[in-house]
Amino acid sequence: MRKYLIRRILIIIPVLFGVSIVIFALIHLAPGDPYSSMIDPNFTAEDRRNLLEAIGYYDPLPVKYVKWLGRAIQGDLGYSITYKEPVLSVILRNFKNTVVLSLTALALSVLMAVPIGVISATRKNTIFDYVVTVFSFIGISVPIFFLAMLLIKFLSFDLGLFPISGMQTIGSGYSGFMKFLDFVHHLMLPVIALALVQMAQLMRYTRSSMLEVIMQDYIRTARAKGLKERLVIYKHALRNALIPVVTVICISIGYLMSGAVLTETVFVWPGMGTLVYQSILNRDYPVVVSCALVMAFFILIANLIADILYAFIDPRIKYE
Amino acid sequence: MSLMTVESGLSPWKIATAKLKRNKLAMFGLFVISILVALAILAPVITPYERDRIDMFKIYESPTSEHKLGMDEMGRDVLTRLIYGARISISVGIVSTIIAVVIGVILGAVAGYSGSIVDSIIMRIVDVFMCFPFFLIAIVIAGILGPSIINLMLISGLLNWPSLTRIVRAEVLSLKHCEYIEAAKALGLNARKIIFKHIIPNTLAPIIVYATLGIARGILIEAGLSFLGLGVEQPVPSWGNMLSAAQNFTTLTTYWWVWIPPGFMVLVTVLSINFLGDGLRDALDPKIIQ
Repeated sequence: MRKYLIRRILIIIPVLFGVSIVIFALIHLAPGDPYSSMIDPNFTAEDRRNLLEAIGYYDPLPVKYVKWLGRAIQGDLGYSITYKEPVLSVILRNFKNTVVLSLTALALSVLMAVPIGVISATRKNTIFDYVVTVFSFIGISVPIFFLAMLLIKFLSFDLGLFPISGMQTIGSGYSGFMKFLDFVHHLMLPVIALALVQMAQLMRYTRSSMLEVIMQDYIRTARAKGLKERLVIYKHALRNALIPVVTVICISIGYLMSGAVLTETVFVWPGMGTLVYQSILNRDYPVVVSCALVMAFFILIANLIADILYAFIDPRIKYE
Repeated sequence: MSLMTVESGLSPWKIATAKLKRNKLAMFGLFVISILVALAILAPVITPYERDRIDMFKIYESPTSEHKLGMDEMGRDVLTRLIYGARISISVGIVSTIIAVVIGVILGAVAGYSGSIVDSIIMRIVDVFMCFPFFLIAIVIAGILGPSIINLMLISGLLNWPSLTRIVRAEVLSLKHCEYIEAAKALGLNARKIIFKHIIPNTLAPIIVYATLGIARGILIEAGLSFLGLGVEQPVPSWGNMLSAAQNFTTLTTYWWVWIPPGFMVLVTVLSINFLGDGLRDALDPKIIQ
């Protein structure tokens, strides 16, 4: 087990290395000269050249890569052209909003999807099961921004149930608990959009995992020794059925963050997604590329946790 | 059970077809897809108006008997553009899937067959690709390359192969030690011939399923990127760039006929492909007998 853990953690290193190379390549493929707007236009061409040389603009690519990597490890991701401040502080500001949004959506979708998936599996081929199946198919097929726009049009605009966009009512002057309530009110619709799509995926996994477990011999044994059906399902079957589901939940964190790009853009939620989109429009590539780096890092960690959890929960798995 | 007794003498493909025909959702999906493809091909014949014809007096006109789905922000017929949009959206889905399948299958087969160093290099590259937030990287590359249909196909294709590589590699690993492969080796066939003639044909089932679902993914990526203005550009209509009209708040709330139909088309198309893909998965799996 310990050996497996160490090996699993060590595998991350070459992957992170590969990620950093791709990100570095993207920075250099990005069009435009980020320094052109930062240098005083009254400088002579020679001054300009000397300045650029001093910061290593003319270094060969491998040297640039090593320098960049050294800085990135220390948290220096460069300087944002639009926001005129270090990229890291811009990202941190938006990152926590994305985390709040995606974790709330994840929690809601797990709470809904697991029970529905289990019931759907235990009542295979009933009307309930068919409805759940078709609903989850729709959930994995709908473009999330389209769903988000439908929610805005019908629930926010036509019925006036939710605020249309943003994170708080501008100019409301709320404070304390009222401010929190206002925040929750703004949070609800984007969470519903993300959670509905996420739920569809999780329901399918829970259902098929449960169906597989129910066919096992030990479930037949549990029934044969006269246990109540409820006990069989929720004690014996569910525990084992949830093992793959836990992995899927961990992995879906990355999916959620990625899906949040479009959702956030539609709801103008000030998270990573909106930041990326705005930065693309502003051609602020240091921010865009650093966002990708930060998210890739988190997805890597989430996958690592998924693997480790899997090894802990399921004692049947043996690792050489 | 009746299937086993009646059709046990049939080839695996015939059994799969028979199973697929019995799957109502899959057949429904296939039916809808056929109609959509026919619409896309026949677009110039069946559309009531010219694709880019502008009628300045009818900007944002709501649906009438003349213009069944109304007019858009430039006074163009929405229904006409919707049908033409099917061409772009579906071909982006298909071409990007072909790119992804070619890369994914070759790398997966090579990794699984050769093993050792080549295998671990390819699989680490797969790991790198898999831990990128997919859509985010697509946006970054689209932003750098600039919006165009070709770029869209390339981006979607080049980002979609890693999971197929994993699937094919796993299949190849399980086939590698089969007797018929040993026999082929003993006959002196080279690795390339063994991979392409004897191994890949036997991994076709998961590849077909993946490719079907890949078309759905391609259509969703087209919709997402074009919605953000990073995909297909006007005046060529695609469902994604028609949806981007809803970035305008008044359009979103009031002129629903401009953006709800393309969104609905994406949903219906992707849903049908997913139905079919899921049906194919069950039909091609010899372990499922029903």
